[in-house]
Amino acid sequence: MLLRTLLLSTCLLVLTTACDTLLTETPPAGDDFESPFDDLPPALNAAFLAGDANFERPFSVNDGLGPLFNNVSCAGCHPGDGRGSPEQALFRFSRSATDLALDLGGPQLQDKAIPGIMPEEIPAGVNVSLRLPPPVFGVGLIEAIPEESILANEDPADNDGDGISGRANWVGAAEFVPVTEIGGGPGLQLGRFGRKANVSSLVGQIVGAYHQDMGITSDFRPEEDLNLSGGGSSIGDDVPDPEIPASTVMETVVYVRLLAPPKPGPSTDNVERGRDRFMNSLKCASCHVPMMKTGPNDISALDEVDVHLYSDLLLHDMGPELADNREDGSASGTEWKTAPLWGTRIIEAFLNGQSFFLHDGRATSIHEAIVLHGGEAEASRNAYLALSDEERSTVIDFVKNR
Amino acid sequence: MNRLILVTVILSAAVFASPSMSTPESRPLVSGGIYDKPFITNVRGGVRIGGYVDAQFRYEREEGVLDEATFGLERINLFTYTPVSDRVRVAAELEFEEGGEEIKIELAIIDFEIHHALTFRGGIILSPLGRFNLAHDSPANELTDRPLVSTQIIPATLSEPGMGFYGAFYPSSGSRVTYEAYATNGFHAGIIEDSPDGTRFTAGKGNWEDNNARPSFVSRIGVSPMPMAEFGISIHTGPYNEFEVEGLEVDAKRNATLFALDTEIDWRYFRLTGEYARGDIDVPVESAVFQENQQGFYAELSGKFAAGLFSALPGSYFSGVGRFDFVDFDSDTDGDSHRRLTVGINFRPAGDTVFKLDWQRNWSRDAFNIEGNSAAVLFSTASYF
Ligand code: HEC
Ligand code: HEC
Repeated sequence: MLLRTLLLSTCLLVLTTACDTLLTETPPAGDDFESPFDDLPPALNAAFLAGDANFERPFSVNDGLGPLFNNVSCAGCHPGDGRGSPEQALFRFSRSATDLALDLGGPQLQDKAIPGIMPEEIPAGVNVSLRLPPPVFGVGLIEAIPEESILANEDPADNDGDGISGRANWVGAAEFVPVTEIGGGPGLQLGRFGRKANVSSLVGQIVGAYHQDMGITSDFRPEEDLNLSGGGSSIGDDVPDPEIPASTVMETVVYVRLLAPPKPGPSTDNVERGRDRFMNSLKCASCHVPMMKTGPNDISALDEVDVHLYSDLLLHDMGPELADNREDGSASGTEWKTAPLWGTRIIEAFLNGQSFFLHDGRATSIHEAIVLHGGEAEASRNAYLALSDEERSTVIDFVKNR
Repeated sequence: MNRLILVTVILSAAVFASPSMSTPESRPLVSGGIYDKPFITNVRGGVRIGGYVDAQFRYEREEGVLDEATFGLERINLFTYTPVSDRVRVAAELEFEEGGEEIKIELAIIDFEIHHALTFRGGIILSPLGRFNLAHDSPANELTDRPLVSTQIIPATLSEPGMGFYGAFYPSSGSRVTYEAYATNGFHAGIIEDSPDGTRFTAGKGNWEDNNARPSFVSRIGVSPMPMAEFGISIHTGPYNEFEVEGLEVDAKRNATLFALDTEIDWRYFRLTGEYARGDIDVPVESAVFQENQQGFYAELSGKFAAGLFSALPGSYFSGVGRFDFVDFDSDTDGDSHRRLTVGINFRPAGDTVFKLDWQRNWSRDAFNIEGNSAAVLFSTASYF
C-alpha cells in the first residue's frame, strides 16, 4: 500500500517536473525589468497588461508610424523595459533653454522617416545632446516621492562644503498634462524624468515619446511633427490624426508606473565591503542617495514605501568631459541627473550581453562610468582611483549587485 | 526581363515537347496538389467536389505561464474540379478561416492542355514557390502547425492572379522534370508598410489588381530522378511598390525576390521533406527599420508503423514525426529569429483522416537578441471529405 502510494507520487512528481521542463519554466522572480509590483488588485493587473501590449506594440507605416520617427515601438528603445543601446540613442537639439529650434525641426532629431519622406538632419548652429534610453521600471516610485523629500537634498550653494551641491530642474509642464497628474499644472514644476530631470510628469514623457519618438499623434498632441527643413517633404502620413486615443496613452502611463524595480542580488563579503566604501570613504552616496520614501499614494505598492534607488534625482555638475553644453529647462550644459543605480545586476541579459552607462552610453563598464565622473564628483572619483585594484573591485561588485 | 524569361521557358517547352521524347505518365504534376486530392464526391457530368476540415485544441505556455488553451476550427476548405472537355479543366478552392470571418479564393484556374509538356493556366493560381505552397492540405500534413519558413518567409498560402504555363518531361522511364512558370501581379508595398514587425512577405499578399502595373515572375522546376524523390527550385521576383504613376516617377523601383529549394523523398516507411527559402527585399534607406534579407528552412522526417493493428480498421496506421524549423527575419543582425522543434505521433484510421498529437518547443529571439521561450501541446484532427 505504502509502496504503491510512494510509486504513484514519484510518478506524479516526475510527470509534473517533466511537464514543466517540456512546457517552459518561469524565470526566477526579479530577474527582469518588466514585472509589475506584487499583489496588485486585479483591475490594476488588467491595466498593466493592456499597457504592456501598448509598450511592446510596433507601429507600421499603415498604423500611423511617422512621418518622422526614431523607432517603431517603446520596447524598440527600452528593450525588456531596460536601458537601450547607443544604436537606439537619440539626439536633442536647440539654440538655448528657451529657443528649442522649432523652426529647424527641434528639439529632437528624427533620423528616420516613412517611405517618401526625408528624415531630418542636425542643422548648423545648434547645441546637441545625445541621450541613451534609460530604463523605465521604477518610474512610478520616482513619481511618488514627495517633492519636499527631493528638495531636502538640494544644496545649491554647497553650504556643507563637501563640494557637492545638487539642485532641482524646474521645468514647465505641457498644457495637455492633467493638473491631477504629479508634475502637471501651470507654472514651473519639479523635473524628475529624463537624463537632466527635464520632464516633470509621466504623461508628459509618454505623450512626448509617442509624438516625437514614433510619430504617433494622440488626443493629447493631435498634430504630426513634420520635416520643416525637408522642402517638399513636409507632409504627414496617410493615417487620420489622432492616431491613438488618450486612453491608450494612459494605459501605457499606468503600465510604466506599475513596473517594479528588480531586487538586488544576494549579499557577499565583497559586496558589503564595497557598500561601505560607496557609502562612506568614497562619498558616492552624497549623490547616489541609497533610499528615499514615497508619500501617501492610492496604489498600495507605491504608498509610503522605501525606494532603494541610489539617486537624489537632482542635477549635478559632472565636469567638462561629460558636458553636452546644451541647456535643458533650468539644467546647464554640464549638469546631469544622478542616474539611479538599480537593475545593474541584469543589464547584460537585455542588451545582447553588453552594458552601457551614462547619459549617452559611452561607458561600457561600471569602472569606466566611475572614471568618467568629474565636476562635483571629481573628489569621489579620485578617491576611487586611489584604491587598489582589489578594493575597487568591491565597489564594482556592490554597484553590480543592485 | 521577366517577360524574356517567360518567353524563353515557353519556347523551350515547345521545343522539348516533341512526342518522341516523352512518355506520358499518370503521376500528378504535384503530389497532393490540386489534381491529386481525394475528391470523394463525383457529382454528375464529372464535376467533383471535396474538401477538408481541420479542428484543433491548443495548449500553449510562454515562459512557464499559461498563454492559450483553446479549441478552434483552424480551417475548412472546399474544392471542386471539372474536366470540361478532353483538354480543358477548371478547378477552384475556397478556404474559410476564423469561424468564417475570413474567406479566401485560394485557387480558381482554367487549364488548357496543349500537350503534357505545355498546359496553359490562368486565373488565381497557387504560386509555385516551394513545394509546400502547392500541397499543404491539413489531412496530408503530418504536423498540426505548418512549417515556419513556408508560412512566414514564403507566405503560404500564396495565390495570385496570373497566367502562364506548366508541363512535364520524361527524360527516361521513371524520371521526370516538371516546370511551372507564370506572370503574376506579385506583392504589394504591404511587405514593408503593413506589418508592425518590419519586412514581412505575408503582409504583401492580396495584390488583386497590380499596384504598379508591372508583373512579377514566378517559376518552379521540379526534378525527379526516380518516382520516390523530387527536388525543386523556385523563384518569385518583381517590383512590389508603386514607383510610377501617370508617367511620373514617384518613388524608386523596389524589387522583392524569394528563392526556394525543396525536397521530398519517400523511402519505404519513411518520408523526408524539407524546404529552404530566402527573401531579398529592396527597402527605402531613409527608414532604416526594414529588413533586407530573410531566410529559413525546415526539415521533417516521418515514419509509419503499426499498420493494420486493429482488425476493424485494416487501412489504419500510426506515424511518428519530427521537424525542425528555423526562420531568421533579419539575416543582417543577431536576433529577430525563431527556432522550433516539434515531435508528434499520428493515428490514421484511414489514409484520408488523421489524429495528430504534437509537442512543440519554441525559442524566439527578438530584434535585441533577447530570447523568449514557449511551448505547446497540440491535438488536432483533419479529414478530407
Ligand atoms: C527612440 C527611442 C525611444 C522610444 C521609441 C521611446 N523612448 Fe522612452 N526614452 C528615450 C530616451 C532617450 C529617454 C531619455 C530622454 C531624456 O533624457 O530626455 C527616454 C525616457 C523615458 C522615460 C523616463 C525614464 C526616466 O527614468 O527618466 C520613460 C518613462 C519612457 N522613456 C517611456 C517610454 C514609453 C512609454 C515609450 C513609448 C510610448 C517610449 N519611452 C519610447 C528613448 C525612447
Ligand atoms: C556629484 C554627484 C555624484 C557622485 C559623488 C557620484 N556620482 Fe555616480 N553619477 C552621478 C551622475 C549625475 C550620473 C549620471 C551621469 C550621466 O548621465 O552622464 C552618475 C552615474 C553613475 C553611474 C552610471 C549609471 C548608469 O546607469 O548609467 C555609475 C555606475 C555611478 N554613477 C557610480 C558612482 C560611484 C561608484 C560613485 C562613487 C565613487 C559615484 N557614482 C559618485 C553623480 C554622482
